[in-house]
Amino acid sequence: FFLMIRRPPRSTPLYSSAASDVYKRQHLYQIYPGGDMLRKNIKDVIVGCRNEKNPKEFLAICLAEAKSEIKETDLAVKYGAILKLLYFYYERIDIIWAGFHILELISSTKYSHKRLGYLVGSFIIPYTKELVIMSPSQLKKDFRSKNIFDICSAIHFAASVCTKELSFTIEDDLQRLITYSKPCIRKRAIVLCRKLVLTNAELGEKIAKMLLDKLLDEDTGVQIAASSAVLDCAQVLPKLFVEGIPPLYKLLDNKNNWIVIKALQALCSLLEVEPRLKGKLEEKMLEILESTKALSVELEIHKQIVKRFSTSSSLLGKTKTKIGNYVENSDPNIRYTGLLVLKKLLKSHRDLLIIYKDKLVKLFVSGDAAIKTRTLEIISENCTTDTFQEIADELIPQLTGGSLILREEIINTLLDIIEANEYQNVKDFEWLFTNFKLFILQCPPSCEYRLASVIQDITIRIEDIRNDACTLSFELIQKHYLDLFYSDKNTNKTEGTNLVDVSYNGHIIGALLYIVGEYATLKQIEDHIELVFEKSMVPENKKLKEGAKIAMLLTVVKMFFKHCSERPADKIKEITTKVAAILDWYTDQMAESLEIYELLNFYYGIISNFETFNYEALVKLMNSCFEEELLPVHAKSQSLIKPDEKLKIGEKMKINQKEFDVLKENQMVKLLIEVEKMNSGGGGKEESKTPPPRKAIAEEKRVSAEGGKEITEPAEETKDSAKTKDKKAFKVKKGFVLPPGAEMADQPQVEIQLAKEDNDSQAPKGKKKVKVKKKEKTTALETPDPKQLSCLLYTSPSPRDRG
Amino acid sequence: INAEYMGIKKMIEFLLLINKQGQTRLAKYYSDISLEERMALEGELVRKCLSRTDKHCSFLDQGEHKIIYRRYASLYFVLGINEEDENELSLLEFIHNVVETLDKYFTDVCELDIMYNIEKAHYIIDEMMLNGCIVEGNKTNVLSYIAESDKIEQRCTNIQQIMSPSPVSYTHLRAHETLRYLVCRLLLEKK
Repeated sequence: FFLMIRRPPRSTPLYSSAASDVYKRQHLYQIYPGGDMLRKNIKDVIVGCRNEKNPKEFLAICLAEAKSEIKETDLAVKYGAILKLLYFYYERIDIIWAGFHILELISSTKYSHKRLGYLVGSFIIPYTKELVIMSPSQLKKDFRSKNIFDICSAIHFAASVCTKELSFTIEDDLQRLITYSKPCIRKRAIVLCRKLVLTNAELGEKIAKMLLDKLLDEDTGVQIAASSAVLDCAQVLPKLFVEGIPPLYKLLDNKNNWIVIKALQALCSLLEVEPRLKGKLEEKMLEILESTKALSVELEIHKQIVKRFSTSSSLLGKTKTKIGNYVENSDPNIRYTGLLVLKKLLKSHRDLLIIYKDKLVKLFVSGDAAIKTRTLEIISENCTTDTFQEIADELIPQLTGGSLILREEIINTLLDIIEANEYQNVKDFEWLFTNFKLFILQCPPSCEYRLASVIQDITIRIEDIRNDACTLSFELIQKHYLDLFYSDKNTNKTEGTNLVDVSYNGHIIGALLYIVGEYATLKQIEDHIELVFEKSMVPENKKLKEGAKIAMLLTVVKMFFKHCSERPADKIKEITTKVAAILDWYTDQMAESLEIYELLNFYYGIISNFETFNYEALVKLMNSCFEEELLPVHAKSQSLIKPDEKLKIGEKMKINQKEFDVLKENQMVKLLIEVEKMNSGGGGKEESKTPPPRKAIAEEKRVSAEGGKEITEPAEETKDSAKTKDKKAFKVKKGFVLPPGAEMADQPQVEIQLAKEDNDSQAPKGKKKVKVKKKEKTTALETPDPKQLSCLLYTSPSPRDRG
Repeated sequence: INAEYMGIKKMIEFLLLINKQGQTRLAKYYSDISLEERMALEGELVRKCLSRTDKHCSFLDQGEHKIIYRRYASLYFVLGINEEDENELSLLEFIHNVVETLDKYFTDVCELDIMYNIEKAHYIIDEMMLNGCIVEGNKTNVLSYIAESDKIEQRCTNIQQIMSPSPVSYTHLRAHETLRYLVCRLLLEKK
């Protein structure tokens, strides 16, 4: 205090020496860095930002001020400005431009400046060229500074931004730094070494020795750093660190849990290069398990056991018992980490899944999102034929009343298991189908496609299950048809109200209808045909996507023909009119694509001719179309299908010169060439401009009249076309119509050769109940008698007009 | 430009302090994540953390990163690792350690302390974790280093807070030279 006595201040023009004034001036002494030179110091900026109504504007002003302040030569001002930059960085304002100024700050002699410079520099400098400029010189200078804090900051910075080039220049100082007297420097130097090893493997040998020496350093901090560093480096260059095994082993007895964990991890990763270590390590691990109180260490040991020591029965036994406890612990973190260990355990010991089954389900029911995901992962990866049914029985009740995400996860997991290895996990398909009903009713939109394809696939492959599938489908169509339309099944709705038209595609409806159409027995058809007819005309069907609509149409038709096959004539008339009505309604409401339109055309043509033709023969004909069994074709077999030679698919498209000359004659092409010339000629002759356009219009009209060329339709037709006319347009469009009398035989019939039986697939052995068909054989829908049908197809403008 | 890590599998990729409004109060990245990715990442993380309660566990997934987080008052301390092989419980302990150290340094730390002293918060955390590598677990060591470096900083910038007395009047200064009982007006004034 006495040193501070000085002459009492005289009054100056600005400041008086009266006591009260001196008192009031106290706050001035709390100088922020930069002092009075800064217009706003960092505190002002922060306070301002919080108070201002428009912080972005305020920040822009501050940024502009900082930009000018940073250019000042006074380092104190620079310091204040760069401190503000740090705040801007967090406000996501770009500060990379300040690289050079930061370098200047770093080169200051004052520690505070350096420290801040290095800090902000580590954010920015890696992205700038300044790194290259500054690299060795400044760092080396600071490495040799007398102030240990300077050295610390410099090492810290070097460790953050080190590149390969930099590593060569730094390595000379490493030896000195890592054996420095102060632990704080040694600590940092170790991390720098770690970084160097990872960027530049050539330095590995030299550095490995240095690191290993530090493992048994006197300072705990240094030991922690060393064990982390050794762990990371040993994973990359294990052979160099084999000598470190004895000190690492010693570290296992350390009091500090960090060190124990890291040392254990390091030793386990070195097991690959030093297998003799295994026995010793086993003993030690048992020892630690007994003595440690830290849960983290315990869990680490269990992790390593499961990962690398699963052959040792004593260790594994301990893990098995303990995991049960962890997974039921009240602390969710312990449950989670226990679950991770369980996951690894089950990967190698799948049969243990049964033991933990109820625990898993409990976890799944009570846990949160992360735990649930892990549990489902475990289940889906480890379920086998024996375990699947039991687990599914536990999970399926969770579907009712669960949230959307929950249902998605459950259904996806179950489908994963079902589909795995071509349904290997499913023993009892009948049980599966009883559950499919629940699946379908509870299915969220994202799983729709998958569920539909699985159901369809199983039904196609497994003959014995088809009956069940048809019963299920009919039931669903009858009782829950409209339910299948809603994207979220959880809300209570009555039929017909609250139509929610979200992203529904109708995959499930399509699949069910396909099953019914293909595999329903005659008796089933008789019972349910009215039902199907009724459902086909439900107005909501308009919302189905194309695939489902086609499925609906084809099912109606298939069922109709099968039904007709053993009926007397008079009864058929009734049904025929009904079907005709359906086709009518379809043409009105649902025929928005060419494919549907063509199908409608085709079938309407047939049905409306029942009177004129011998309907028995016709029915027989149609039924023979649908008789062949359709089976899935393996992807590999598809490549064996050879297309018709006439298609010339493999040939490259070339126009030879003769053809091109002929084309050139064509008016249209001439026109195009002229247009091109105009464009490339720039401001050509004005005379040539106007005539060509007029010519162009004239040409177009002529060309369109000729016909036989594919051009856009003339405007008049499309303008005032009602729906029917639009449909006419499909047909009337020139170029699509075959001249009358053309035989269907002209169209290439793709003959699909019988593919060989796939070698990979084998019927599952020992399953008496169920035969899964694996043949691949498809036949095209053969058109039986071209002449009979072609005239039907092409002479009528629209099905309606037939009356 | 950032150094490439050859084949290192498990490492701490970032440490973030995000508040409930999604503002990042402190961010330390130890791996190559571009600036745009960082913004998206931080936004996603805070959303996920906000939707969890205390009954949930402290671990979740975010893309390729495994996240370990803990909420302290209004701030989420989020640690991101890139492989599950790290010991999660010990990292959770590390987060707690950091918070305790900050608490000791700032005495009853709150979000505002970190906001107004962002560089100091950086220095403290840098002392405990360098380059994704945990280097110090002992609070006293950390704080003694910081205290020493603070002293040197103050010497440099001439902030006379500790060493300098608050200004006093002339009377106060020379009061000891007399036997009379003088009362300094300043002491009577309410502060």
